[in-house]
Amino acid sequence: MSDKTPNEREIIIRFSNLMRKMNIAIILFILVAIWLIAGGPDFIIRQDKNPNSTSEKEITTASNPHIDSKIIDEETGLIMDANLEVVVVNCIACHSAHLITYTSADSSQWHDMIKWMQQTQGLWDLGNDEKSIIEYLSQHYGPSNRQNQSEEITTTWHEID
Amino acid sequence: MKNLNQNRRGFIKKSILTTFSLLIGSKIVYGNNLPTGYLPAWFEGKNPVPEGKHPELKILSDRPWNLETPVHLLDDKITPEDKLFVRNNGKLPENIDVKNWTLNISGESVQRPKTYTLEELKQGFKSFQYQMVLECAGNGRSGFNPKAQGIPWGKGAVGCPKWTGIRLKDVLMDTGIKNDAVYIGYEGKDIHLSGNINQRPISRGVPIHKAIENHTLLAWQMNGLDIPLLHGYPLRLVVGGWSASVSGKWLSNILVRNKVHDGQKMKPPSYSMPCEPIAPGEQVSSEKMCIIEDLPVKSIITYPQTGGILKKSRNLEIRGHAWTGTGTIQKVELSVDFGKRWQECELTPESNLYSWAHWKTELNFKSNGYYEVWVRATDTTGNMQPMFSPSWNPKGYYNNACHKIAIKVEKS
Repeated sequence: MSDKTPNEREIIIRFSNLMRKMNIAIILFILVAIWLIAGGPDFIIRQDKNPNSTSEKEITTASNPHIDSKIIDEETGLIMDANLEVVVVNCIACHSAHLITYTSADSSQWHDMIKWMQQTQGLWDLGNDEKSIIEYLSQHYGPSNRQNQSEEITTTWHEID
Repeated sequence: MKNLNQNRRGFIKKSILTTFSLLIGSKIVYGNNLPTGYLPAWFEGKNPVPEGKHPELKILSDRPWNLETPVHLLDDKITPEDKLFVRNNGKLPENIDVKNWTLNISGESVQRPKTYTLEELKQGFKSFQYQMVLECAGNGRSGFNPKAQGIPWGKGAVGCPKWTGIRLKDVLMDTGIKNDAVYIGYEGKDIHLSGNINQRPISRGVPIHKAIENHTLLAWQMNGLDIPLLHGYPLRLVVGGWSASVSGKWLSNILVRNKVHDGQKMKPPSYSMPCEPIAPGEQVSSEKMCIIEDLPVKSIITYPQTGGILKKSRNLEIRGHAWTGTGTIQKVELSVDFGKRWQECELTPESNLYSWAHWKTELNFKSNGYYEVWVRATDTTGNMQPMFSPSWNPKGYYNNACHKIAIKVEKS
């Protein structure tokens, strides 16, 4: 599959590898610099101002602090990388990508979930794709995300009297 | 079936190679120029909330539908349709023919297997109306540390509408049950995510003693109207006091079993907790897990919404609900000093068993500053809510930790 990859995808992969290696401050600095040089609004990489718009294709950087240096595919909400395609083909055919994004598991746990889906939920034999899928899932939706922040009180302040 | 799946995969792969790679590339290179027609059909990533639902409901999954109600939207005493959370396991049934809808009672422990039309159920048995809590067993899951597997519900996978229907007990008396009956299982008309019609998305049940309680209903109305499609139209079980997963929707079959029902999602770790407590994050084998039963005692603050700032006074009217699967609510208390002292609230008891009680009080803050208000309910069996997430379990069920909101007092 990789020999058919268009140049555009190469750009994405390189860009996302680059992003991963840099911290968010540097990225923001560079984005702002490029934005200014390119003349602002006409430049095609920008934050999504209208989250309901489906007519515009843009990349958005995630607001989730756990995945701050990843590029999110706007249509699926999944982190972009070379294995995303095979994940979309095999996983999102039946269920929403939410079931991936809200899960954190290491490769053996993802493997067990795939086995469970094959044994009880009608998932097909993934063949050679299984390795790439587990690699993608455990890399981007792995145990590093397992500490939960949600019991903290999350608050938007507003006057009530 | 395997061949079919292989073909399907082949088809999807082929189409995705010609469209999806292009699409990914387009995101940087072509910007806004690419037409939307290239989106593969299953890219539903941005579904708005379904029709009839409040726009502020949080979409936790859109295939299947799982929607959480922000706690401040649960302020109504009787939860209206638009503010009731949704927890579905499969796709919604299609082309429902109400006139020909039937409920079949069968299974190895039924004496006279029988099929009823909806009309026969409505006319042939005495109907009852109860307000009863529906709560997802995973409500509060996101409070567990380390993270538990499953949909990350906050505290809003709960609601308390009014249900109209007949007692399952009365129908089971009509069919008769054998002496060896121990469990009932339900089957519904929802469609498995894979599209396989031979598979059920979920088929759970309850022991006979629970099935024949007065508050176990076969219901066709919610808040005086037909039950909405998302919530089980035209017929569903409502089993008061247990997690909503046993209240089967789009109900078509009741099986009377001579063993614990073995339908989809009855086996551990689904809807099961370690029989003996484990340390947070510890592994536990399926044989050492027990099926969850009664809902734990719980309460929420529905007014004000967290984040309220008081500028004109230091007094605050505050209210909410409390419920339990073990008895009724005995008292509800608030703390504004992180649990050091507790102040008892005025309580309006449940309208019937397994409904929720309403509580309210007025708080007087001593000074300006940041406060957290914690709420804690106690039921008539002596069960009290813990202040922090209790008994960690791998799937994150039955977290009944106190609900906490933040308030700032800034009176000049």
